[in-house]
This record gives sequence, C-alpha cells and structure tokens, in this order.
Amino acid sequence: MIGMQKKICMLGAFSVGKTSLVSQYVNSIFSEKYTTTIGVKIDKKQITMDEHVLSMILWDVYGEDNHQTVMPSYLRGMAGFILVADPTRPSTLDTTLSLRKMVSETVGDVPFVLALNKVDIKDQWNFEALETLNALKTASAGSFETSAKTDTGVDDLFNCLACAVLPGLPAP
Amino acid sequence: MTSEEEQLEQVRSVLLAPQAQRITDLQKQIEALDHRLSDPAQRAKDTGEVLQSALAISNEKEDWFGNSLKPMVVDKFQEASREDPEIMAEALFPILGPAVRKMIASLISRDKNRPKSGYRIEQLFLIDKMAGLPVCHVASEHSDTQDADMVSGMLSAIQSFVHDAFQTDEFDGLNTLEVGELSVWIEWGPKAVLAAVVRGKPPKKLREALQIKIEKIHHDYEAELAGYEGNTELFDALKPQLYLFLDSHDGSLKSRFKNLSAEAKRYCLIAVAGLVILVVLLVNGWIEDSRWREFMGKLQAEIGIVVSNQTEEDGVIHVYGLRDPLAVDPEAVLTTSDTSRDVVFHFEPYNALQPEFIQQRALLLLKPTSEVNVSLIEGTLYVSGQASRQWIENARPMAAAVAGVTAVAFNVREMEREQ
Ligand SMILES: Nc1nc2c(ncn2[C@@H]2O[C@H](COP(=O)(O)OP(=O)(O)OP(=O)(O)O)[C@@H](O)[C@H]2O)c(=O)[nH]1
Ligand SMILES: [Mg+2]
Repeated sequence: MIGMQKKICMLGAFSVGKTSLVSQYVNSIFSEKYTTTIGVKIDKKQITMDEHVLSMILWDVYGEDNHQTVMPSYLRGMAGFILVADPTRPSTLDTTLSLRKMVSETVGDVPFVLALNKVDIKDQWNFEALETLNALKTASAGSFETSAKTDTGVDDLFNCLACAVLPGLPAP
Repeated sequence: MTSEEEQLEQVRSVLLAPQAQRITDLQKQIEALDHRLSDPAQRAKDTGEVLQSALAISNEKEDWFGNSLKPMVVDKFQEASREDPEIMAEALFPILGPAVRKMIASLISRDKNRPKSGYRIEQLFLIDKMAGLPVCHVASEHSDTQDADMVSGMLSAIQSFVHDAFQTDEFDGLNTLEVGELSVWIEWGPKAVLAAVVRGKPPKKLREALQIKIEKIHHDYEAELAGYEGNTELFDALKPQLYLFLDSHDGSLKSRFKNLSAEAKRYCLIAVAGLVILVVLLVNGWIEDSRWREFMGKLQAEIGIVVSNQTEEDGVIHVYGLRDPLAVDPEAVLTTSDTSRDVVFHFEPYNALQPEFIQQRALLLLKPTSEVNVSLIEGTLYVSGQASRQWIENARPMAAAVAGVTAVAFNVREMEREQ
C-alpha cells in the first residue's frame, strides 16, 4: 500500500453545487439551503485504489464570476480539479471555460473532471453553447451528470479524478 | 435627612467606595488564607508543590540539593540499613507512605484538559506551503483533539489560515491563530510551515523552539520537501522527532517531571531516595540513640565508675571518666548492651568511696585470715578476731591508710604460737 495525498480544488461559478457535491461525497449530507462559501473550506476523503490509499484534500473554493483576482492563489499545488457547472444556468458553463483557461495559465496542465450538476432537475437544463461543452468534455479526464441532491454520479465523479491524479493509473 | 446630609452621604459613599471594596476584598483573602492554612490536605499539597519547585530550582542551579544529598545517601545508606530492618520498616511505613505518595502525586498529577500551569502542545502539523498538504502530523496522547473530525477541522482552519497569511503581500510574520480555547502557533519556513496547536499559555521560548525545528526539518528533508508529490510515507521518519518535540514542550505539571533532563530526573530520584533515607536515618538514629542512652545509664549505675565526658570523633565515641580498679570492666558492660557504636574508654583510676569498695579495698590490703573479721560501719573500720603477731603489726598501720576509712577500731588478739 502506498499512501498518497493530493490537493483537489472544486471550481465553478457560484451556487452551482460545489459545496453540496463535497458534502454528499464526504459526509453523505445534502441541504437545500444555500450558504455561499466564504474563502475556502477544506475537507478530506480517503479512498483505496489498487495499491494506493489516497487522501483527497478537497479545497472547496467560493464561486465567483470574476475569478482572475483572488482565485489563483487557492490553486497552488493542486493535483487536479473538478469543474462544476449548473446547466440550469447556461452562463455557468462559460464560467467553467474561463476557469479552465485561467488554471492552465497559472498552474499548468493538471487533470480535471467535468460535473454537470443538478441532473435531478434535468428538465430545467438549458444549453446554449454545445461547442464549449464538447471542447471541455474532450479536455477533461471524464465528464459526469451529477446530482448532489439525489447522490447521482457523485462517487464516479470523484473516483475518476482520483485515478487521473494518481501516477501510473490511466483513467478507466 | 436634610438634603445637605444626603448630599454629604452621597459624597462620602463615592469617596469611600474603593476603600470599602478593598476592605471586603482583603477580608475575603484573609478568609481564603485561613481556610488554606487550616486544611491539612491543602497544606500537604502546598508543601508538595514547594518541595517540587525546590527540586526544580535545585536542578536548574548548581544542584545543591542533589549534591548535598548524594554523599550522605551513599555513606549512610549501608550503615542505616545494617540496623534492624524490620523495626525500621514498621516505623517508616506510616510516615513515608503518604509523604512519598503525596510528592509523587504532585509530580505526576495531571489535569487532562487544562494544564494547571504552563501549556501543552496537543498537535503538531507540518504543512507544505505549496499545496497546503499536511505532510506530517502528530497528536499528544493526552490530547482531546485526537478525534478525527476535530483534527481535520483544525487542519482545515490552519491550512486556510496559512494560505491567507501567505497570500497577503505585506506578510509580517503573522503567526498565531485562535481556535476556541486553543491557539495555533505557526512558524514559517521556505517550503513548509510548522503549526503547533497549543492549550494553555506557552512561553516565548516555544516560538524559538519552533523556529529551530522548522529550520532543521528544512535541512534534513530538503529534497523531500522540494519535490513533494503527496507521498505520505516520505516523512514517517520525522514523526518520532515531532513526538519528541511534543513531549518536550509539555509545560503542564504532570509532564514537567517527564521533561526534566535525564540528569535532572536522576537527581530528582536521588532527592526522593534522600528523603526516604533521611527519614530512615532519623528513625534509625533515634533507635541507636536510645540504645546508647540505655548503655550509658547502665555504665553510670555501676559503682566505681564515674563518667565525666563523652565526645564523638570520626564515628567513634570516646568516653572519659574515673574508674575504681575494683569496678566492673566497661568493655564487659558494652558487650552485653545492644548498641553497635564503636567506643573507646578513657578511665582514670580512682578510689571509690562507696562502703562496699572501702571494705573490699581493706580486705585486699589487710589480707585477713579466716579468724579475722573486717567490717565497715559508717566510715569506721572494725577489725577484730585473732591473728599472728606479724599480721597484727602489719595490718594495724595499714587499716588506717585504707582510702575512705575515717576511723579504725582495731581489736585483734595475738594468737599464741602452737608450737
Ligand atoms: N436540485 C439540486 N440542487 C442542488 C444540487 N446541488 C446543489 N444544489 C443547491 O444549489 C444551491 C447552491 O449549492 P452550493 O453547493 O452551496 O453551491 P456552491 O457552488 O458551493 O456555491 P458558492 O459556495 O456560493 O460558490 C443550494 O441551495 C443547494 O441546495 C443538486 O444536485 N440538485
Ligand atoms: Mg460553496
């Protein structure tokens, strides 16, 4: 068994469900109440993958539409990130795109997975820029339709990134 | 009351209020002190604490306590333990048991949550500055914050704090963080920070110790820190060192003993042993004293022996006095006594004036035959019977010369020679 720990960041526009995904994944808790994250909230989840025991140190960073100012410092040293979009608000997808760009400019090329969250209300999804979406999907280590509310695709989302950040483990 | 009186009363109460308060305070203090003094348990506790500080000071300074005890301990121990061990143990147990227990209790007493005085490091985190990952973590065995949730909460707070502090451009060594009743002291290195979660009030020297530690870690783990990829085993070798640091910066009472240097600890133990042996010696000395007194009483009760003085030199007792040659041999009295002391007798001969001695002396000098009667009655030596002429001529002047004889009644008939 090899013990590893990796810093993972949750990135996305405000209110897309970053905090909700982490609470569902780490503590199996979901709340309808929206409490915006101030600064950063750090959680830890340990999983076993093959011969690795991986501790994911999850940095849940506040969502803001203009990330250029504060965000980069939070990304320092991260091994991967989760890009979260809320397709009920098409603008959040644009935000993920600009976030992705900002990351590659400041941190470099690190793996990420894409979460299209709130799949439980898929009927309210509304995509305008499918090209953007497809470009992101291709660049990602995996993309998932998730729901923090109904616990859909959450484990898959995080496990996929876990594989991507561990050395010598190709994404499934 | 007139309004003038009322005003005056008001002014008075305003002016005198501080004094009145002070008096009540003092009264309370006196009561508390009184209570403290009249409570034996409290006094025992206080004494224990004082004794402990004395030991601590002694250890810091030239160790007068240890040094003065050591020779005594070594020299006297054998001597002391040679004596009847059973009596000693019986005599000692009730005194020593509680005393030693109390002292040990005061040394090791622990208050799990609140160090009575001083401070305790409950957690130590080494956090890499790049990703904020906890590279190495140790928790005190007495820490309440062993609990995983608490640790991760704490860690999370420290990580974001470290992040934010690192972020500010005009970073001015911001390095403490309060989390409830705990405080976090953070020491910054180029690649990692050392964060100590502290309960209580740490002294300034902790800051320096943290500084030295983080510097050493950077020196020892330069490569590991530089290319840190999240491998948790990489810093396993550091854990014992961090535990050591944890333990050596436990300023609470219980651990103060634990944290003394090996030498200080040894002296502390010597001091305890010294305490034990002191009591042993006291009791033992008391037993030996009473045996000696008994022997001296016996010796002085002997007629013909007068003890004038006794001195002690290098453990040998010299007894001076006068001894009638007819008196018992003091050495014989010594061998029948229980005392184990080394004694040398210095007796000057003298003539004792007790009637038995005068009579015996007379008998020795006169060498009376069976037909001569010698007796002493109130200083007068009565010599009667019959003897040879030669004896009579010899004895008559001698009778008066016997020491202690005040008068002589010489009435011996001359025996006719039966030839
Ligand atoms: N229906 C539904 N609601 C969700 C889901 N995930 C999150 N929410 C709700 O969306 C709101 C925002 O969720 P958060 O997890 O706080 O969003 P966030 O991205 O952390 O927001 P910031 O911290 O402000 O950036 C909350 O009211 C959640 O209950 C989901 O999968 N389905
Ligand atoms: Mg949030």
